[in-house]
Amino acid sequence: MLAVKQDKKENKFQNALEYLGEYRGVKGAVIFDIEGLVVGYLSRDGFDAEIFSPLVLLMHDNINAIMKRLGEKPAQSIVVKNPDSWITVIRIGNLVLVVNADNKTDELLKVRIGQAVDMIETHLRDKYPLLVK
Amino acid sequence: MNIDVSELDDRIAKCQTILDANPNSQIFAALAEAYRKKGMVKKALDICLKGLEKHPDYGSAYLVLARVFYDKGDYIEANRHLKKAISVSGRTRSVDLFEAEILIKLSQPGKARNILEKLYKSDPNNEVIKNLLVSLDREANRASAIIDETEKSESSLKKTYTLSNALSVIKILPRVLGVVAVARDGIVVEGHFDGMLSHDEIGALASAVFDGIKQGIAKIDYGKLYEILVESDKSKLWIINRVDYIIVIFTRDDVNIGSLRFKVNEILKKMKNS
Repeated sequence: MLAVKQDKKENKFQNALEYLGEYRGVKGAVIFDIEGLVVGYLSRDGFDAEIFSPLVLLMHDNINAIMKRLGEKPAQSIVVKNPDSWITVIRIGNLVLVVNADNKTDELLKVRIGQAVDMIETHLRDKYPLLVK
Repeated sequence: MNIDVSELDDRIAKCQTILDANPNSQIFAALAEAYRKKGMVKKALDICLKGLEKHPDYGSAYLVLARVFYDKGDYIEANRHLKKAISVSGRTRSVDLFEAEILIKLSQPGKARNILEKLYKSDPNNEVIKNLLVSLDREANRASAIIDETEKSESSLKKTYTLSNALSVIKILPRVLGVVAVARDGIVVEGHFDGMLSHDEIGALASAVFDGIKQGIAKIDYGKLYEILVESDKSKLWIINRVDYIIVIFTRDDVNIGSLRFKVNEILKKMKNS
């Protein structure tokens, strides 16, 4: 039997972001399109979604250039760590999901991110099928 | 061990019925375990994680979670959750046995042997324990042969690695396809890479990626760049920032990155001037 959440929101992207935000240590998350336009975000501890999107797009392009030279397909996910936190970047169709978490967050966050990606992909397939193959 | 699938299906149906009637029930752990036994580890993981959000002190669920990670081949996570299970619910013989199995996978045969020998003393006819002890003996013989060989080829190497030694050891780790160290100016210091590109090309490309990201994160005050991990559907590219150079490791996609990180960190710690 499916449990129906009372406060289920229409914005499925925001639902996915809030689901990520429930995980301990997540400082922020953002979904933007390949032009860098923010589709939705969740902000804590000063996480600035608008600042992250151009950086991440540049990073994504640079990394895919090296993957191509290595004869590999484009990156499915990119993780960047500094001593205090880590950013995970995942391309979903024409969208990019970025999650920023502190370094104490356990690796099970990856599972949660995978579930959020499923939510976003399902929504994209239902509403914008041309954006996903 | 033969697993009766119909019995598992029956158990899953019963547990699911109970859970549907009472979503707060602790039956989720039994449900997850049944899915795990059926080979549906992702489903088992989802159920277990969801249940633990409601019952964060339920030891049996951590044990199931540990078994799920074990089945997934992520022995570090399996060990972590087993420890949590022990801290919440204490030890049993089956927990000790499982811990020994995990320690064997984590290449900690000494600790595994201690546990198994204690178990063997109190239950000398247990075939599982006997088989694990036999496999440990076999592994010990194989390991000593490898160590002898390594010592011969690295006779000048005592307790520390040079960069060249360290990269050689990293290169022979399971599923590692190549490793290079690249100086700040993009020149390859040392490398072992069997791919279609030259070391110099890899050095230049990795250096460009690293510098691009480093400059980008500097602009947003993200702090010092420590490492980058890129996953594609066939491979993983891991770039580690060191004091004088970056280390670029290229692996197959099915590498266990947690286990690789553990081994690489151990190797890098043993490097001179590390």
